[in-house]
Amino acid sequence: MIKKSKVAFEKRASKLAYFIVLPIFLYHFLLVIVPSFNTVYGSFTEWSGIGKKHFIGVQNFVRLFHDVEFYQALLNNLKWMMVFLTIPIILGFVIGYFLSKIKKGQIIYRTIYFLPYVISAAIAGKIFATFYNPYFGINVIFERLNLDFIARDWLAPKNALLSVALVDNWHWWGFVLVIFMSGLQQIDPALYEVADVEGANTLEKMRYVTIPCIKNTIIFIITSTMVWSIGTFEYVWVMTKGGAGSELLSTMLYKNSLFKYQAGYASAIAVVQAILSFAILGIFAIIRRRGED
Amino acid sequence: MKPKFKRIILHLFLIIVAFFQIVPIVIITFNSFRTDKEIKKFPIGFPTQININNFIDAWKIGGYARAYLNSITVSIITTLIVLLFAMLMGYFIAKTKIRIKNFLIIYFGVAMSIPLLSYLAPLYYGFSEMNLVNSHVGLILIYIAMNLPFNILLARTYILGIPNELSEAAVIDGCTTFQIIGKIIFPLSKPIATTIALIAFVSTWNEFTVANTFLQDTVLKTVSTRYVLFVAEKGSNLAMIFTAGMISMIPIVFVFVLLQNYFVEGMTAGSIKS
Repeated sequence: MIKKSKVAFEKRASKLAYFIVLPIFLYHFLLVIVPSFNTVYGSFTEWSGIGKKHFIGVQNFVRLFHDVEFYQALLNNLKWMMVFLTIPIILGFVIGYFLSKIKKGQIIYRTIYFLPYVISAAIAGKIFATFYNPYFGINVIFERLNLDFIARDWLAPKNALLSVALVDNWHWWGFVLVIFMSGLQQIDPALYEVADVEGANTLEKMRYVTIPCIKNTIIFIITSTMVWSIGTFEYVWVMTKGGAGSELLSTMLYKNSLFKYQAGYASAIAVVQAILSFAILGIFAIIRRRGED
Repeated sequence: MKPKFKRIILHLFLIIVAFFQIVPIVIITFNSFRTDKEIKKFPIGFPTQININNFIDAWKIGGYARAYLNSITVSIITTLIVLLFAMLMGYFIAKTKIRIKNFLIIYFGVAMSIPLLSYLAPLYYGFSEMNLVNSHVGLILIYIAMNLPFNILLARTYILGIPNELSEAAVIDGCTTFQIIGKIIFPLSKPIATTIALIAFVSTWNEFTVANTFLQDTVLKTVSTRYVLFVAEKGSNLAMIFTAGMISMIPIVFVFVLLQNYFVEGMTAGSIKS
């Protein structure tokens, strides 16, 4: 009797499930996946955005691979990636490690470090652009402190990309920190006790306990950083619109698709970005699987 | 003496880093009470007086009454629908034996890493044909889709951890699926529901790219996009930039400080699991 009602219930629930699950799935599919495929198709066409697409084969890609701007943008994305593979990860790991050692004030520190993460890129970007203003911004402070050599035109070519990256880093590394903290909290304290008994010093504990235990967290952060660096957009768009030598694949894509009526060409950029991202994800999936064997 | 000394050095280091994180926010706060002249003379400093004239001016000139209304409407509707969809999807993927379960988990996992810009342009041109550009409905439709994958997976992981005994007992008592969801699953999922609502609300309130693309009409703009427009138009008055920035970020900072544990735990759990 009991079993029967359970089986009947499960059958009914499964049927109902399809009525709920499928529409929500389809909704997402229509709004995200269908347009994504549209972009893939669009990359093989000449398309202004409005009107019909004309199939032109791989011409957009040929043009892209001969476009100096594309290589400039790609190089900038790689520079961006280098910044984000170092500063936030080192900062997040070191601070996360220290925070896991203290009890008093942990939450207060975490709140302060993480707070910039919830501030909109639109607001943070514009405010920092004001700080970077060569006449009324931080330069004035450096000059007052007789540190003139630091003062410069922060958002001018040569400096712009790094200046914007520093702002995005201010906003970003708190997120890396909390990911590291949650990884570090899951390490079994007994492992450290064993290391203590065996007379390991701090560096050895780091090498043989901490890092191996949070290996997956580290791989996750490196993978995400690389993928996000390929697609990064908001801070650069808000602060320079990709000007002053800070052009990125995304800003180039955005301009071509919505302002220059070159949606077909822009789609080719999107496809290249997607291929790069999936290649990164694929490589790390293989590394992870190897590590588990 | 030595461990104590070590601890002081450690805190000193943590405080210096905290200083760099918090100082821009403190400067925004102080400068929102200073005058344009004072800021142009020296970019940082204590306010010489506490008056809210800057705020009244920025609120009026920036059209913030309307921008706030827009942001609140869009964020709340998006949040409620995302919450409902994510919880339902989470429940059905976690607790029923539908065949496409594993497919859906992988699907939403992959969907999370599709960058916005790879589908934004076709969506824009498609929506403009359907008159969904310059419309909050269009914006909300996109925001829901953007927020679903992460939050569905978050809800699923949590609901998976709810023991089956309670709902099994309810089945024997003759409860329907919806009664089980409403009376057992949802009440037990309050923490994750709070997290999902918070993540959806914050990300919608802060969102810039989609809003900036789809809303060109000034009166329809949300707070963050209205702020960018405001800076472009009134950028010569630095006091206004800081004050309007303050007005734009206050609600989120407030919500975050109050409910940060839900937010931080959700962000970490959702990111690592998938």
